[in-house]
Amino acid sequence: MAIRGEEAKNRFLNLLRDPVLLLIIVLIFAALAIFIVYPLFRVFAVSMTDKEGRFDLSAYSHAFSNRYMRQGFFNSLLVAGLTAIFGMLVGYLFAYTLNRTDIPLKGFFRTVAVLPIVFPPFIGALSIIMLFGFNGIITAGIFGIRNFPVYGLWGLMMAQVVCFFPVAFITLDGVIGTISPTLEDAAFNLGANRWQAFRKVILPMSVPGIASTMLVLFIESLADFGNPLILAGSKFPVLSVQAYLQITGMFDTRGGAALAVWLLFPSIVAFVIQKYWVGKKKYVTVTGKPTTSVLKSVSKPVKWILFSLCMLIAVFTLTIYATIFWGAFVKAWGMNNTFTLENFRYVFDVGLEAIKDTLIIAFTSTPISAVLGMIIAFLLVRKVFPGRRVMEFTSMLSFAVPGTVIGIGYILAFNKPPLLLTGTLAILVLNFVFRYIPVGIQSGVALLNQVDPAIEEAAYTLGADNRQVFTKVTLPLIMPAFFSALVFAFVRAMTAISAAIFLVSARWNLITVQILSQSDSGRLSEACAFSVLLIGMIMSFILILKIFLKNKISLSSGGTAGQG
Amino acid sequence: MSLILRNVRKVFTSYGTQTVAVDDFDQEIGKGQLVTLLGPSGCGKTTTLRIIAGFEVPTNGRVLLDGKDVTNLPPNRRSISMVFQSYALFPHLTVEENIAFGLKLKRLDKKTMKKKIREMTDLVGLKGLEKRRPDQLSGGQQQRVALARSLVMEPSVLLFDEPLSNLDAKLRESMRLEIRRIQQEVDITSVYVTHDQVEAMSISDVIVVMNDGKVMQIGSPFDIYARPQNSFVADFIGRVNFIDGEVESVDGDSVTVLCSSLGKRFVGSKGGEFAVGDSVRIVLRPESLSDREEDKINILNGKVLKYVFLGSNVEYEIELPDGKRLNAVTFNPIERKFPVVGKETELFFSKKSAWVIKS
Repeated sequence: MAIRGEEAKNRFLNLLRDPVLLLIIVLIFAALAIFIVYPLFRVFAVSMTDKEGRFDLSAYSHAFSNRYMRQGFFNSLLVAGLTAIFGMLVGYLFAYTLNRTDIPLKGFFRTVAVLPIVFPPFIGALSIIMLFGFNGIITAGIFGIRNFPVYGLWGLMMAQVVCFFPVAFITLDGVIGTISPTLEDAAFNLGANRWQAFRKVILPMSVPGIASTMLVLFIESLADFGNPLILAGSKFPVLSVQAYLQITGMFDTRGGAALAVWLLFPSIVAFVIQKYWVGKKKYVTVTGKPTTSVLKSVSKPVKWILFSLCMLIAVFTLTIYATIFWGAFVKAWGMNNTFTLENFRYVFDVGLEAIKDTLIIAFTSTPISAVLGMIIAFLLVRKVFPGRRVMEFTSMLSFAVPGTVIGIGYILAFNKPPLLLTGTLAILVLNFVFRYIPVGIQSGVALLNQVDPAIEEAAYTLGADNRQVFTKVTLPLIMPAFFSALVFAFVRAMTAISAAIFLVSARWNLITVQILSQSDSGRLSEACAFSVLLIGMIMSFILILKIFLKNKISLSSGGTAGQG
Repeated sequence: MSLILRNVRKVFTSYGTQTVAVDDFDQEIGKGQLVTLLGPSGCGKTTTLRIIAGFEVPTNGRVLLDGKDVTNLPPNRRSISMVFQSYALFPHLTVEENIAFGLKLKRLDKKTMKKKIREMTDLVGLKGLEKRRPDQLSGGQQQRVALARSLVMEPSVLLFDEPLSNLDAKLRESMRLEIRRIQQEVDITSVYVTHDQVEAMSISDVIVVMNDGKVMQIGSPFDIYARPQNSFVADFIGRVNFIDGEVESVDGDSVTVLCSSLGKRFVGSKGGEFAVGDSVRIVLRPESLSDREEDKINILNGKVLKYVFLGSNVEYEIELPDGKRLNAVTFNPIERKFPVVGKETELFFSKKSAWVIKS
């Protein structure tokens, strides 16, 4: 016991002998407490107290006695479950086919499977309405069907699978790509046929990846706001949208907060399972010699079946996105399909302010988020201090918390002095910074774990202090993670909607909110034009960064956290 | 004394279990000496090194550097440099920039810096490679950069953490001579960690043999090999035979040991204080057993079980009448007779080479 006390004292002394480090740790803890934990606490607090501030659970009983709300809860779970299954299947199909067969057009498939990451998540829904809705070019245009059931479960699930399967692909691509082909050779050598080799070797080894992917998709789907707002319709209520409508439509903050708690619960459960249980079960194949794949895992007919399936999904995905581009350049979607640039004029007339605001907010929050992510990653991997695991959990928490919940939390937490931030630029920037740090932390931690700690220790023995070690050694070494954090924080900031929709104001508005309100009022072509502009800006940013960095960044690292 | 470790003890606590990594390490290291910490993995040698470097704070005890207590000083404020097992070169910097790293932090002027870097690249043999990056260098060259980067700081103490374990056998041999040459040329106090006894023997002034966090013996390479203080050291360094028995008489530095299972008496050199009747063991190196008559003071009878021809020598195994087996070796087999398997044979050893320790 005495020795353990001594040990703790030593750790504390270690911190004390570097006051700057201590200060940074304290500041980060304070920031995480104020901008992640406190808003969540406010959601709980408000949902559980009545007007006079007494403890009262009537908001919950009310929410659960209302059949409509109850339906929302089950619908959310149902869609999330189905999206998790189908998204994973599509992701696995792509990951397996691209890693284990020698089909042509691999580059094309890879691009299709990764690119949607940089698109605003809800344009899938927009496009599905344009394809299958009342004036849909496929349903109404080709088949003459006007009442195709696109609103509700199947439409929503389809939109989410298209949006989120890239997340599954990236994870599973990593998993299957690192299973050494010699294991299959060994299975063949021991008398297994191809199907047995797949079922007994590849499949069991990818189970942790599959489970982890499904949980991530489950969280993404629960948190999704844009797609259900457009597609769920009144017949198919889901929680995230109901919580929003409760607050903005019925001005019932308590009821909204109670629904947010309902939404939060399954997300946190899935997150904890993913992080602390599934996340630890990874198979690592260690082989001394580099192994070259011989690509004989599947027979010829199977190969072409897989190719056709991939092609089908790729074409569907491309159609979804192409529709948006097409829609932006026609007069009135489904009725008058003549080419025009009118929509863009409209966008610049109505939306110029929103475009400026979006860029200001994204360019302010992105670098802060990326730098903070790297600092936290460095602290988590390289420093021992009391509360390290708490810092890790809290900073990664915003990944699990649906945007709707955190958005409600922000309006509840920052609506009075000293933290009166509602309606300001600050509230949006702060929200984005803390929502998108997990991406940076994740890729930073992953990269740092591969960097030999001795390299930093060498810098210490050569006289560098903590700050110099970080800026002169650690940061240059984790630059790739820093830039992928930068790209993803930027993409997320540009496409954010679920939390942001609570925080926008007359003074500070966002393009994404414009897209939703345009499509809500039936101006689909205008919504498309906004979307095209948004995608254009995101692509330009990535392109410029890529040229600037001479292609050192890859899209597929760290892309698994924090949609919408 | 440039480096003193005073009763250093390090206990690691993880999930409630305490592990004593270093137990009461007490040693003074003189200016210009090269002291090697030698022991099997997990013996605490690396932890001791990291305590000297400042990466670990000892649970108890003090570290004194040039008379100053540095126990709680962070690594960057001690005048100590370290050469790492993985070299730990900065992958984003060139050879030159790697060597300049510490000098830049010291804000040395450009001219002095250039001069020092040139001297260093000459000393360690890196001329012409200054602009290369670490991944464009061979293992041996990377090792030289790591050494240069540490030496250029002119530290009071230089630490080596298994610096040669990533090199192939041939290179290892030449590099250890190289390290010793440079260390003596610069006259720098060094602490060297290795689990390779040959490496330790060939470069050290003093060897500290460690096991389970404890210091087993401190001494010159010769002492460690020829006069081990306990079975662990005798067994860990080189190959060894033990013959167990009881002290029958002590006379000056000679001990007569009775081995009842063989029914024989042997005369050996005293490696401790004994009383008559003490259980002891005779430490006998394979090369001390010979068939030459002049060592006839101690005689063993046994049967040759097998032999292995290794070029410069022949190793063979002998079974004694009590069933115990001994290893013996003869050199220069071209000149000498080969042992014959199954043949009864007589072997002799001198008093000098029979080192008696407590068992």
